[in-house]
This record gives sequence, structure tokens and C-alpha cells, in this order.
Amino acid sequence: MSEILVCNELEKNYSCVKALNGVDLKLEKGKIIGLLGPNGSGKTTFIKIVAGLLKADKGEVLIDGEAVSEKTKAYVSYLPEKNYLDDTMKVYETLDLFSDFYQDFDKEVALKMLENLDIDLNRKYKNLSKGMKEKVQLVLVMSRKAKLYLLDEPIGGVDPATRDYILNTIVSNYAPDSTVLISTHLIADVEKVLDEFIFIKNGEIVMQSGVDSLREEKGVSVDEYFREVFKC
Amino acid sequence: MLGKLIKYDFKALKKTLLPLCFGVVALSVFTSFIMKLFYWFEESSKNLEDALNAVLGTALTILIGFCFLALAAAAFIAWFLILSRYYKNLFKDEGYLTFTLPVKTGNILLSKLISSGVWALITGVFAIIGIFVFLIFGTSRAFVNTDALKFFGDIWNAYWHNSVLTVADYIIIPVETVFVILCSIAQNILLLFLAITLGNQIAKKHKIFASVGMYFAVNTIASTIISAVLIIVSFCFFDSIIDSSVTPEPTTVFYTYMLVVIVISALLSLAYFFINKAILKNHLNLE
Repeated sequence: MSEILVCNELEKNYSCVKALNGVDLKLEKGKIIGLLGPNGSGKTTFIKIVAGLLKADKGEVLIDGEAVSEKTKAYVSYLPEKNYLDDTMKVYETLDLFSDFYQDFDKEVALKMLENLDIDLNRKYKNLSKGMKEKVQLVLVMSRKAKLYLLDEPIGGVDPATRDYILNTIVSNYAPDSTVLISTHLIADVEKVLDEFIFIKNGEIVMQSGVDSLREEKGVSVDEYFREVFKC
Repeated sequence: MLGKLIKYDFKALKKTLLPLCFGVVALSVFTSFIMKLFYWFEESSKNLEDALNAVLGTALTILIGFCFLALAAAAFIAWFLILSRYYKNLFKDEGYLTFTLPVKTGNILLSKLISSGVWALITGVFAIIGIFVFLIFGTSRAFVNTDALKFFGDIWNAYWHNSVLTVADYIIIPVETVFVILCSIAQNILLLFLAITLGNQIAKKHKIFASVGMYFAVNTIASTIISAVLIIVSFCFFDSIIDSSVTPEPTTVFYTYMLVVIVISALLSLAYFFINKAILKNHLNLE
């Protein structure tokens, strides 16, 4: 099986708002894919359904051929927009937590990355700056040898230097047969690391293509094409 | 995985509840000390000016009142901390990690129940120690209240040197008491957990108010069912007494009552647990 993620006719409604409207999608293994769309287009809803935090109203999600369950959570590494760690924990305790629950977590890799970042393992998570907190979460998520990484706005709200660090961490840490799905609206920053992109608008997939093939066929970058498609 | 979940839940609760436990005992010691001061003041105030006497007396009374209020509030704070852990860890930002761990939903709930139950017991034990300290040291002019000690000693002797109770009674009474305590704690915790889950599922805003509403709603439904069951059981029980020519022993009536309490608590706990689990597993919507 070459697909890591298959979604069929996925639908999700919030009261009267259709967050996802019949999403059909297939993601291949071994690629970095950008899930791109303006705010409120359904990116986070889609990722949360795949992560198992939301239930779809209709449709099916298969991760490596299996429906979302505690089994798929063992090989899906999810980075939310929010700080999801208990902020009374010390940094080293968060490493122990990931080590205890995820068999694919490589503590040595995480320790090395935190050392490079000069983060004191004995500091409480709540005492770290916003950027540092995001880096610690990213280190934890990327130190897993997961089959599918779901990164929801990993570079939103951080300075350009941190953005570069985050993107380098993603590129240098994912296994060749793993798939990384990055949701963002900061396209110019992520474009350089993407193999493929998906445009999502009003809960519908409007385009899925390779970054190189877009350049060859239309002669524009993903960022330029995004501005064209989502022109207000 | 259940063991690991319990380890982290237990540690998280320990951070907030252990200081509270020691705080309760410290407050009991402090209140006892203030009471001693009050007794001393009462005796020596005859030599003081009236105005000073009134001010000091009022100050001490307010302080004692404050200490009692703080001791009573500790129980509410303990429950608040236990429920706050459940709410934050499942329905706030931490829920994004909790529900993406490769663990079964039932285990998440079971871990919360066990760790909360153990901490409810620990805080209960500390509260009893606190009350005991106050009764022994804070309720008499002497250093130790010998009347209170004698009272506890009499209860102890009355239980162990009792001609009515048989050897079997000495086994059944503690065993049933332990089960009643455990089942009641589980029932209350699971009811509160279910109320929070329902409140979060139903309300878009004001989820805490919705949870409080759900608590009363579920509690009312459960109480109605229990009352109906108890009425039926009572009728059956009394019918059998009327029918038979033998009057049951008081201990038999007591054991039957305890057993009914245990069975009802256990059944309600199971119902709350499985309803909550089904909601979290099939209708989770972490927004």
C-alpha cells in the first residue's frame, strides 16, 4: 500500500457551518505535504479528525488502512496549534511522558535537539517563552519515528529564525517512508520544504498537486498560485 | 498503559493535593493553638481594661471562625482540584495530548477514577487527622483533652468487647464498611465526571454552568431510580419478615442495608462509567 492516509466523503458540521464538505483525499507515503488554505477553510478540523480529536459526521478516514483508533495513534505524531503539555511539568518530565507512551519515541534524539537549543531540562514548561514552548513540543513530536506527522500551524506566531529552525527540524528528522502533513497559511515560508500541496477552501479540496509540477505547468510558485486562487 | 496513565494522573494530583493535606493538619494545629490562647485570654482578661478586652476577644473569635471556615473549605478545595484535573486534562488544551495517546478511552477514565479516588481517600485521612488533633488539643484548657480521649477509648472498647457481635460480625462489618466507602467514593467521582463530560458536550459556552446543571439532572434521575428500587426491595424484605415467624437479628438488617447500598452504588458507578466512556469514545469533539 503506497497511501498512508485515505479520506472518503468526509463531512463535518459545526451547528449551521459546514467545516468539511465531502473531502476525498489520498496522501502517499514518504512526502512532505502542505495543507494550505485561508483561516477558517477547514485545515484544523481536518487534522483533528485524522488525529482522533473530532468525530466526522459522515465519511471515512483510513490511516495505513485502519480506521482512527488507539492503534493508529501509536504511529501518528500530532502537533497542535496549542500548548498541550501540562505546564507544571519540567522539560525532562515531558520527555519521560513521551517515552512512556510512544514506543517510537527516540529520547536520545530529543535530548540532543534540546541540548542544541540550550533548553534547561529542569525548567518548568510554564516558565519557558512562547517560542521555546513551541520548540519543545516540536522536538517531542519530531523525535518520534512515526508513519504520519500532523503539524497544525507549526510556524504560526514565531519569529523568522524560529521558523527556519522548525522547518529544518521537520526536514532533517522525518524518516524517508514517513509522511508529513503541514497545515499553514504562511505558504512562502514552507514552500521550500514541500513535495506536494493541497488547497482547501470552505471545507472542500480545490486542488492537490506536486510543487515541481505546478512550477513546470504554470510557471508560478505555490505562494503566487495561492494568491491567485484565494483572491478576495 | 493503564499503570502509566495512573502514574501521571497521580503525580499531577499530588502536586496540588499534598500541600492541601499538610495545610489542613497545620491549620488544625494552628486552630488548637489559637483556642489555647483564647482560653488563656478568658482567664487573664479580668485584669485587662474593658476596651482592650473587647478588641482582643473579638479578634480571637474572628480568627477561630476563620480557621473553622478554612478547614471546612479544604474539603471543597480538594474536590475542586480533583475535578479541575479531569476538566483540564480532557477538555482543555491538555486534552489534545490525552486523546492522542495510544490508549483506550476506558483506560483514560479508569485512570482518572483510581487516582482521584485514592487522593480523595488520602485527603479524607488527613482531614480526620486534623479533626482528631483539634478535638484532643484544641477543646480543653488542659494541654490534652482527656474527656475526648476517654470518649474515643469508650467507643473502641464498646466495639471490641461486645457480647452481641460474633466473630463473623467482626469480619463482615469492616469488609462491608470498606466496600460502602469505596463504592460511594467511586459513585460520586463518576457522577461528577459524567456531569462535566455532558456539560462539555451539550454547551457551546458556559460549560462549567452546564456541568453543574447536568450534575443536578443526572443526580435527580439516579435518585428517582434508587428510590423506586428501594421501595420495591423494602416491600419484598418486610413481606418476608411478616411471612416468617422468626424476627431477624439487628445485625442481619444492618448487613442487608449495607449490601443494598453497595449494590446500588456499584450499579450506578458502572452506569456512569460506561455512559461517559461511550460519549468520550464516540462523540468526542475537542474544539
